[in-house]
Amino acid sequence: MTLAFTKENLGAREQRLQRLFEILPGLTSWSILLGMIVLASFKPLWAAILIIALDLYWLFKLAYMTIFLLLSYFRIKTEEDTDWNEKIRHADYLEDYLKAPQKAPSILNLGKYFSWHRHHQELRELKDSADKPPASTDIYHAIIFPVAKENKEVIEPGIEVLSRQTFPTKQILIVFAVEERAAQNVKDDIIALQKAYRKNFYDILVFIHPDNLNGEARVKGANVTYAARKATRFIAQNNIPVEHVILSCFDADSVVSLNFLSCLTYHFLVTPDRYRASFQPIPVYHNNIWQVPGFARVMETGSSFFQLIEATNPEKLVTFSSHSMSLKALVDVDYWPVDMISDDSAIFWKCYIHFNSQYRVVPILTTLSMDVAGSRNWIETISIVYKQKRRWAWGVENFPIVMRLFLKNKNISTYDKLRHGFKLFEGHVSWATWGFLLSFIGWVPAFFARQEYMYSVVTYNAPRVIGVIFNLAGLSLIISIILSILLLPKHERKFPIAEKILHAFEWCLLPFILTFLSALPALDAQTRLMFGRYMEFWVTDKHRDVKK
Amino acid sequence: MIRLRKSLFVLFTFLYLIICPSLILYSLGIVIKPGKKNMIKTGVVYIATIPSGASITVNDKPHKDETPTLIDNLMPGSYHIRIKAPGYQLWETTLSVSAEKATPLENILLIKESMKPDELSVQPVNKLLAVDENPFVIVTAAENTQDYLFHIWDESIRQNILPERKDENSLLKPLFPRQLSIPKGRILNHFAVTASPYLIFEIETDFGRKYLWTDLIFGPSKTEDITNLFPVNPQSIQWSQNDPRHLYSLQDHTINRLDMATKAIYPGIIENVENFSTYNQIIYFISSDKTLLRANTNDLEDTVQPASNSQTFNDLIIKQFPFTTMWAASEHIVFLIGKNGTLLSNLKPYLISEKNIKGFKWHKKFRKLAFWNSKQIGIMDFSKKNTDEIPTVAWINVAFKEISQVYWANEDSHLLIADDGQIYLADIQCCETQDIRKIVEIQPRSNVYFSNKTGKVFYISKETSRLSSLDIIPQHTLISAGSTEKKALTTEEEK
Repeated sequence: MTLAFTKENLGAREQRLQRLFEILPGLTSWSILLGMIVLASFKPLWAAILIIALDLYWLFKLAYMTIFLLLSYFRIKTEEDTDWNEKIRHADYLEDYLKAPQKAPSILNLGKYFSWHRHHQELRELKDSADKPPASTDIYHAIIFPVAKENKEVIEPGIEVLSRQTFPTKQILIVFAVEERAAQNVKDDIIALQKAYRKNFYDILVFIHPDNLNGEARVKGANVTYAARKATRFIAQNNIPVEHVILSCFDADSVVSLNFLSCLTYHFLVTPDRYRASFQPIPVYHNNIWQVPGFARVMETGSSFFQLIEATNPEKLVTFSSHSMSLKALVDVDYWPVDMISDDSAIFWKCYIHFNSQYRVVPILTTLSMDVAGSRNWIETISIVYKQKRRWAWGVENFPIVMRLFLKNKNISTYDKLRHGFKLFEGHVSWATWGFLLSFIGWVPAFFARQEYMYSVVTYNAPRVIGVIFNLAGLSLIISIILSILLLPKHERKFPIAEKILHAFEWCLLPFILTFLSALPALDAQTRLMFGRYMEFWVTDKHRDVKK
Repeated sequence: MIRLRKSLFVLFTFLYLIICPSLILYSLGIVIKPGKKNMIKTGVVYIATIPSGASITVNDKPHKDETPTLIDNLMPGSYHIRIKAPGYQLWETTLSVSAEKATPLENILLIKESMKPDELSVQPVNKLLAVDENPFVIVTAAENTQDYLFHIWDESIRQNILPERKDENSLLKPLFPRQLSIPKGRILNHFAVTASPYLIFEIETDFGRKYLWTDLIFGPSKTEDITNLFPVNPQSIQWSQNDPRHLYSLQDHTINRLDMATKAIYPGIIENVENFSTYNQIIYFISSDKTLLRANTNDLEDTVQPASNSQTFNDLIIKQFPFTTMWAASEHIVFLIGKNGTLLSNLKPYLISEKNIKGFKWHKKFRKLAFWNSKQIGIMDFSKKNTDEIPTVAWINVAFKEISQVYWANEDSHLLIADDGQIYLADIQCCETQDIRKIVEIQPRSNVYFSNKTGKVFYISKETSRLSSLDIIPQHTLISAGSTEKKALTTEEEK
């Protein structure tokens, strides 16, 4: 039975279920926030104790996440100079390579030592796997760039880097998915790019996505689906099997590293169930990081950190933003949902349910850089970032659909349903509440207790305990600041060290960011979903200075 | 990586389940002592001193931290606390600690072992006019307008507003410089309003009563003879700090409004009045039929209403009439002293003290009232939000001889008391016995002035008869008096 991954055209019972699950996240978030305020007003001592328990939980979670942030960072750094083409050759000539004598790097070079062992374990698993991959020379990459209002300055750097990939560029097919409503100059830019770079690739295709097609919403998923269908036809006409095509859906501003496609190809080859997997790079926001206000820098560094941490948990990893998968899987699930804003995560859930939980996300150890949303102007940037985060948080629209389909699907184990359902739910509720709890509401009990229970021990002890918790959390913040500086790209400013020091101080804005540019837009999105006020796709403004 | 994640998850969960209950028990003051089966409920004492960094002993055992500090895990019982900082007098008290309760000693003011006063006048003086909550004190050695001197104690005003008036030799300036043709005479009375830079002096001259309006901040050139505005000697003159242009005077049972800019008189805006007091736009007055009324000065005709609906309070007004003092502490609070020294307020319990009250001081920020007769000082706390809880009087359990003035000091933790030629500092914040210390001797029957902004007390020295000042509270520990004032106003306005 095929379960339609959509909220449209449902029966009465399903509609009721859908609404129930749409209301649940927002209702829970509001209940937590208002409940804490009410509890703090009437029973401040109880609230103070609850806050201690919550703050301690947050500290443990932070410490746990920081450990994996560090591990993930060191893995990325270790693999930075990896020759992925060499590793691809090992996979191509698997038997010969494994038979040849091997010498592992010294354990003193810990990163390389573990990398080597990981590589060999992957090759051994591949050897034992019944499902052998195609040769790398038969692999093709189809990369879709959705375009709505992005101009040449935003798109060209990404195309230019793709034209210089270490992976053979004649095995790369670029697909521009252009909205019909895009301005003429945007369309002209795309045609110009096609002309300029066509010779470098297998081909560059441009598809104009007509407005208002039946059954579609004005969302990115509809545009890329339209282009992917057309591209699939083109691939078939060129006698390329879909099993040999890795499809990447990038944002228009995505700029990859030179070995990105080699790294992706390697992971595709060594993943035994490669047609049941998506491949997720680490998104970083470095393209214009020095051209936006400081708080936007901190915000997006935080997003990158989140993905770095998530990359260490492939059991629960979900696709985010620019991602890759086999074209075969995409065709099997009938492409992205065409009526959802959060197409990036929705495609994972669609695959997960379609393949009865036999689908996963494989983290790939390379970065993919995008633009920080915003402009040079602070106020404008706040507005742009807020809308972008609300759109990301609109990913909560997956929850009702996933839960409804989980209830219908009898082939997915209850454990898997609970595991994924809880993570999806808890993730969104935490997103909307922690910022408020830590920055403001956590202090309300202390305020009320001070007024009414001035002579209680807890009034004096609780702030001390919370103070110690926050001081310990500061260690995690210091590690984050150091990593954010290490991750920053080089730039052509006059005082790079001074700017990095300034960037460290920008982290002081974290309470403001956590509350107003993270928790608030998430709560906004959940409230809209709760009241059935569905959002439309809003293309994020990106600002990039033009190099002269 | 997955195995590592799972192992760490189990470890962190285990640690959380151990640490979280321990932290909660600690926060509640519950400890488990080795060798004892049951959990023990303890109390804490929080100690903060001015200056900080004092060492503490609890029952003769030194405490590990200096002030400010929290002494926790105290078993219920009585504790003798001693606090000592180098160069400061020993502070000690005995207090009882209860289970799960905290005893805050938040504003302990340590007094220096030797205090050296600053002498502000070269010449001896014998009279000090204290103008409350204004940045100056006025002194004189003789009863003539030209002999009065004033001292601006607010350093920032002295430095910034009056640079051209700096004098290397003296911190005192003539109140009325000789170049101004000010009538000679004796100052009978002065009228001032909190936080207003203006003063009005009532002067007895050979040619009758004169009224001088002056601005001591921007200089004596602003002094004006405004006698013509008062055809009849006023019983009282007031204005609002928000609107100093308009004065209100009580003359012949009538309140008149006087426009300082145009010198216009608006007579009889309220008639049949016995006493009045203003606060911002609100005017409280007692009518001849012994009723306390309240009105808005912007719309007197339509806003007159009884100040209280309480029959008890209105009966008290009739019974205690006439009143020697009436003072609006805010737009909603008014205090009155009746014929026998009865202290009343329009807040419950209405009757604060039945007789012999000589004065009172209201603390705006903490909504506390200190009032006194010759021998005793009482304190009432009106800060409780619960209106059913009627404040009661807490008396300072020390008998004084002849209290003349009382000031709030160091927020609401201390009182500075002028009594029979002595200044005392009373720590009233806690404990079974109040700590009252003699600070300095002053000229008998002279006034003192305490500035909360600078933490200094101004007085006439008994030894030298000069205007002197003494640092009571170190400057760096003070909260801006301006901000305190503003906060208090905001609180009132919000109501």
